[in-house]
Parts: sequence; structure tokens; C-alpha cells
Amino acid sequence: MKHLEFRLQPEAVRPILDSVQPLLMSLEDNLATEAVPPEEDEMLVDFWKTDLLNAQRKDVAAIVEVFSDDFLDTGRATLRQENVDHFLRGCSALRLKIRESILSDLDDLDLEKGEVDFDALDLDQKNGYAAYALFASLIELVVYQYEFGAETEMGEGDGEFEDVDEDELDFGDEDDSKDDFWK
Amino acid sequence: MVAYGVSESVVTETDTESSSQLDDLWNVVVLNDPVNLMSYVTMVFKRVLGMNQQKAEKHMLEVHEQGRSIVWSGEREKAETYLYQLQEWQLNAVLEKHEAS
Repeated sequence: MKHLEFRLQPEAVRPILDSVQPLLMSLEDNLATEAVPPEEDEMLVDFWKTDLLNAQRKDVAAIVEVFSDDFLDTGRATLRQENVDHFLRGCSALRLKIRESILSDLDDLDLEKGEVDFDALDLDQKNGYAAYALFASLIELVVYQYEFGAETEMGEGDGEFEDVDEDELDFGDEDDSKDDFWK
Repeated sequence: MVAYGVSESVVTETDTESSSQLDDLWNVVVLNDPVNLMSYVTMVFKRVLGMNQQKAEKHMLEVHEQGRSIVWSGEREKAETYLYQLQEWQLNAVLEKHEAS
């Protein structure tokens, strides 16, 4: 089976993942964006949003799968090829939710330029910001592999997504205090 | 996310339409958001709308710099399909009636 694999430090990433756990749960029941339907008809709006929400649930599940038991044991996060789209959409949904909640006090421009004063943030905001950055990095890596790595490799052979080398990301060293969502 | 002005392909396609056909045209518009990454938005335009890299980047920059970009124009049913797919990818997209200039 073809897949992408990242190597991260589970002890560093765990508190970041724990900080976004409530948001992932929230995304099971709430759309990450307003998602304006094409019509105002109540039934159509309901149908439209329910469909989007069902799709979003699969996207969230892809994130949970990547950061599974295996990741917590080994530090290797594995993304199956068939889950790439779900994972990317899930990361986007999660970042939108982090921005709307944990990081709501921060300025758009500061966030965009990465000019946030990290020391001035409280612990929740620090974890939220770390998660925001972590999932941005993962999106960048996956998009790059998807757009360029895969294209190059697919041209040479079997038309399948190739395994890629591990990318190491270090997101600090913080204590682990919560449990279980990722197991 | 973009800024080369209005999509040439859309204008070219609609210039030759009759007024009744123009009345049935809808624009799929992507609005700026401060969260989604430029590389991600570009990829989504390629995936969903079948744009090449250059055109996708152009529309991405238009969204980023001007706050919005008409990424597709055409019949209602297909516009709704694109709208749904863009929203599924978490982009801030809306449907607007095409205004003939």
C-alpha cells in the first residue's frame, strides 16, 4: 500500500493534539465554515449542509487515523494514499476552527506573517498556535508531495503514489496531561 | 490569494452568448479567508476546476489580493456542483448571478 510517512516527536505533539481534540469533536457536528448554499429554500439548505457535514466527518476521521496508536508509539505518522484528500480537507477545517476559537484574539496579519508574540500567549493559545502551525506544515508537505513528488514518480512507472522519505518536524517539548482521544 | 483582473477565459466565452443565454449564467466566486494556504488554494483550483498551474495561481492571487475571484461561469447546475466541491475543500465560495456588462 502506498502512503506518505512523517516522523514527529509524539511527546511534543501529544499536547498539541490534545489541545485540538475538542475542536475535532466539534467538527463532527458543525461545519468549519459558513458554507453558503446556492438557494435559501430550507430543505435544500438542510440537505446541502448535511452533505457537507458528512463529508467533513470523513475528513476528521482521516486526521485521527494518521495520529493513531502507532504514531504515539513510534512517532511515525502514516497517511494512506486514498486518504490524502480527506486529510488535507480535515487539516483545513481544523485550522479554520482553531483560528475561530483558540486564536480568535490574534490579528490576521500577525498570523499570516508568523509575527505572533509567542511568549505573550497563554498555554491554550500556545498549544493552539503550535497546532495551527503544525497542520499548516503538514498541508504544505502533503500538497508538495501530491503536486510534485507524485507527478514525477508517477511518470516513471506504475502510476501509483510512491512512498516518500520521512520529514521531521519538531514542535517543542511540552508535558502530556490528557488522555485517550488518539488511542 | 490573486490579481490579474477578471478571468479572460470567462469573458471570452460569454462575449459571444446571446442576452438570453447570459441571463442563465452564474458565477462561482471564491472569497478570501485568512487561514487557507496559498499552495492549498492553488491545488484545490486545479483539482476541482481543472485549471492548469498558471491559471490556478492567477485566481489564487486574485482572491488573496482583491478579496474575491470569479473562478468559473456557466450554467446553474454545474455552478452548484463546483460550489459544493469548493466548500467541501473548506474554501469560502458563493454563487452569484452573472451580470452582463
